[in-house]
Amino acid sequence: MSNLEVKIGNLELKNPVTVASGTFGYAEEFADFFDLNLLGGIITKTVTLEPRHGNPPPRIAETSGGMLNSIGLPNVGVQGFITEKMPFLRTLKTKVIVNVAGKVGEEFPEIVRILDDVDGIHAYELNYSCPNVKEGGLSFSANATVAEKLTASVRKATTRPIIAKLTPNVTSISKIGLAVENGGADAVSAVNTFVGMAIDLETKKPKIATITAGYSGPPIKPIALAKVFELCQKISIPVIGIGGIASTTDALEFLVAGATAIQVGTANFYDPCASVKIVQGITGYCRENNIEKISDIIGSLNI
Amino acid sequence: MKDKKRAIAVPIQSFNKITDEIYSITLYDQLIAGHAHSGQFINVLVPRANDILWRRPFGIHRINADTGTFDIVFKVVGRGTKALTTIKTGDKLDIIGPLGNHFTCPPDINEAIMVAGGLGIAPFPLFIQDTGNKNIQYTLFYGTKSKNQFCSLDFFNTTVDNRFLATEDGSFGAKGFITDSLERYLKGLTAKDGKYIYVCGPTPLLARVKQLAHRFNIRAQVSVETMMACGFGACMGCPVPLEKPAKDGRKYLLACKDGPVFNMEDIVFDE
Ligand SMILES: Cc1cc2nc3c(=O)[nH]c(=O)nc-3n(C[C@H](O)[C@H](O)[C@H](O)COP(=O)(O)OP(=O)(O)OC[C@H]3O[C@@H](n4cnc5c(N)ncnc54)[C@H](O)[C@@H]3O)c2cc1C
Ligand SMILES: Cc1cc2nc3c(=O)[nH]c(=O)nc-3n(C[C@H](O)[C@H](O)[C@H](O)COP(=O)(O)O)c2cc1C
Ligand code: FES
Repeated sequence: MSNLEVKIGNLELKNPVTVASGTFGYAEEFADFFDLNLLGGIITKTVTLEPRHGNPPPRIAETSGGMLNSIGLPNVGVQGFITEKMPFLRTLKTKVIVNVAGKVGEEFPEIVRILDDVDGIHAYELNYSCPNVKEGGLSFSANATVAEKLTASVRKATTRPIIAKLTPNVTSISKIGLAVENGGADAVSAVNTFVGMAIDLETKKPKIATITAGYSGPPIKPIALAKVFELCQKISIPVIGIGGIASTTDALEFLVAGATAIQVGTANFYDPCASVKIVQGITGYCRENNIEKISDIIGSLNI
Repeated sequence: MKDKKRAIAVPIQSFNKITDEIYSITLYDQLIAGHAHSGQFINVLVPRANDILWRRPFGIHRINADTGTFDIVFKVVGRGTKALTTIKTGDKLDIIGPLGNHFTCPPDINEAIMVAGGLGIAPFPLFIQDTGNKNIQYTLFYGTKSKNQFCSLDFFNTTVDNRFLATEDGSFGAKGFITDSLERYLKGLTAKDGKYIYVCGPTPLLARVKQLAHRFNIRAQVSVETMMACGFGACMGCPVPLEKPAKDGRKYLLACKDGPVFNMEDIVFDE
């Protein structure tokens, strides 16, 4: 069998397939569907310092082949996460990456410090980039100086690997990528959702209560792939590719473009087994093409 | 007991057009036929066409435990339901389910007042199948836009004690909203003990029934419909606002996971 292992800093994943924050709950929601331990890793829904209710409805709308969401990071808060969600996550034999977000910059290291005393967590993903939160969200990764400082402050708070999740809603994603690399991030993940909008013509109301929302799903794949490619060219830490990945081919394209691992997001909603099918698909692809180790594919773009 | 979630391709036993734009599908699945309750739903991967992304949710309409089959009924309202009309008997349909909670009967119930608007009729045959062994009087209020929009009337003819039908255009039954018939009925009730309302339909109907239930002091359970990206608690896209925060402090519950059935007094309808 081919070796599918990949390394994100000192975090070893048994294969490059993980699942995107906010599309996989806290993993328990998917436990009935397949053996979660087959995945390379699991990224939790964003956890914040205090519990959040989330945005008013309507929070979601279907578009042509994709979707808009403005969920607003509802979650039970970091203490609730530790008592209610960690016991299940700790039973898993795959890597657990906790996605965290702060209302203000100082909250990022604060949450990470609290979580650092908890076992069963293998890395953090910093959600600098949620477009749906009024208090800031976007601004953390729209400005290189802010992104670098913030990353450096989290770096001081933990020795566990940190992954900075980047928004594509900026002029130059690689500038931000370089900034978080300087700040001490072990990897970046890209992309979060694109800002988008839809209108109900009958009522002339926006289809989402917050008017604009995050656009995701298969239609964003080519744009996400270009962002990931740009990052891979410009920065030296690993890039985790996200955006519209729904099939084995999609996932392999990101790896060829240079991503070390990938996250399956929106596809989990209509096919809860999408991620594990991609693990099987990549295994089959490597076997058929006599690829000994997955790292031979990564960055193999022929240009 | 909580149902184990599963995505499964089940055989399509039959597929029929019932009336204008309304279809019924009989699916073979022993688990749902044996265990599902009224209000629960399945989330269907409709044939991939017209750039559809999400599954589409449909209530479990009726079960046949002997043949291991169950029915759903649906109306064509958009691209997903349109694509669903291209299925064929003998094919398989990829479903997730049974999902969600269900209507419940308090021990003191003596009359179930079922109120349905349009395809809101979906859960009620199964409701009667679920509760048929109890000593309950069934009263049905069923309104649609027009006479060719009713389904399963044969079933109700033999199972309900009282039946009130209305159409908005007056082509069948009373002319107007079914909630007008309901209001007259509730006004005429002398004793309220043991009477419960069960309602499913478009939001304006739910909001009106909520007012009536409050005014006549009758408890009601409601099955709500929201947009659903997943149907199994993963996307948090289906919030239902609460009148006051839940015990755990939540301001919203999830239609797919905490519902789709709620106590009427607990939830807010955005009109
Ligand atoms: C728990 C549950 C049970 C349901 N049971 C049934 C049933 O038994 N029979 C039936 O015919 N329908 C049922 N519905 C509604 C059904 O899911 C929608 O009609 C269907 O998803 C529409 O898909 P579409 O692609 O054809 O329409 P779209 O093109 O997506 O939308 C067309 C119109 O329908 C509205 N709509 C779309 N999805 C929903 C939804 N989930 N809830 C409410 N309105 C929606 C849109 O706002 C729009 O106005 C149920 C919905 C839920 C949540
Ligand atoms: C409903 C929904 C909720 C999301 N919630 C979060 C979240 O809580 N935190 C986060 O970092 N990203 C969140 N995302 C973004 C995804 O993790 C992912 O970056 C994005 O959807 C693009 O990938 P996709 O096209 O495969 O879905 C969410 C996306 C969706 C669709
Ligand atoms: S539809 Fe996804 S959580 Fe309810």
